[in-house]
Amino acid sequence: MPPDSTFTFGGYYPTNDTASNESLIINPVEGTALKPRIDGSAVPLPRDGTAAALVSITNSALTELSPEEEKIFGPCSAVVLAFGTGSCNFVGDFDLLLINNGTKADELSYNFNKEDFHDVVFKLRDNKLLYAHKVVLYCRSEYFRELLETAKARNKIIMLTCSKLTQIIY
Amino acid sequence: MEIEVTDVDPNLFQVLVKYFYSDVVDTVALGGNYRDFANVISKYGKEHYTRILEDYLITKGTTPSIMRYVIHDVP
Repeated sequence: MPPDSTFTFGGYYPTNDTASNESLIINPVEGTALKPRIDGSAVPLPRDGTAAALVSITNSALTELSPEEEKIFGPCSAVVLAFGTGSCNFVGDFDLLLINNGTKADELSYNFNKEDFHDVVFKLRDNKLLYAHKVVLYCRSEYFRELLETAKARNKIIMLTCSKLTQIIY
Repeated sequence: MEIEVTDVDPNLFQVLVKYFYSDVVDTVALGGNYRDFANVISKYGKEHYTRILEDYLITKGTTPSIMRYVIHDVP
């Protein structure tokens, strides 16, 4: 893990009773030898009770999990046991949050063909639906970038019907 | 937004979109149909074409002839 990397976690903050800039309170997991091991500070939290709260943690205080702990939690760099902020806490939301060693690509690939937050639906030839996200298509493909830029109007149906593909000789 | 795709094998198109998310070609889902997939990616993701082709050649154990040149030190 890079020594100065910062992890940011998001979560729904459930109440209006929110104090800003509180330190994280990390609770140990009952029945294990795990101790609080992450030190960090919370960014100012929204007070309206509706927005997501972001917590940034630098990993300068992180330590690697022991082999025994890895057996419990799987391969990961560190574990956030619980978040607490004064009178209200995140225990319900972040009872156990693992910081995986996975790359951004791993996290992104998890969202492949997931309906969550999708904003593009591909209707394929066999009537299958494939869910995607504009931002991924936009960033990864010049073709889709041009397509999306020319079809900014919402709910517009685009048909890709050109059947002639470039012949490639290896 | 709906995008209707009728010009591509659904399976190949699914591999293409998965590649956009994962940066990895799902060769199992591709079923060895690399040639057609290269055709698809040359249209929908042409900036990835060289890399896809390179990956394919590596899986085939083939070295393009231009890569066989060895530059020797001049004594």
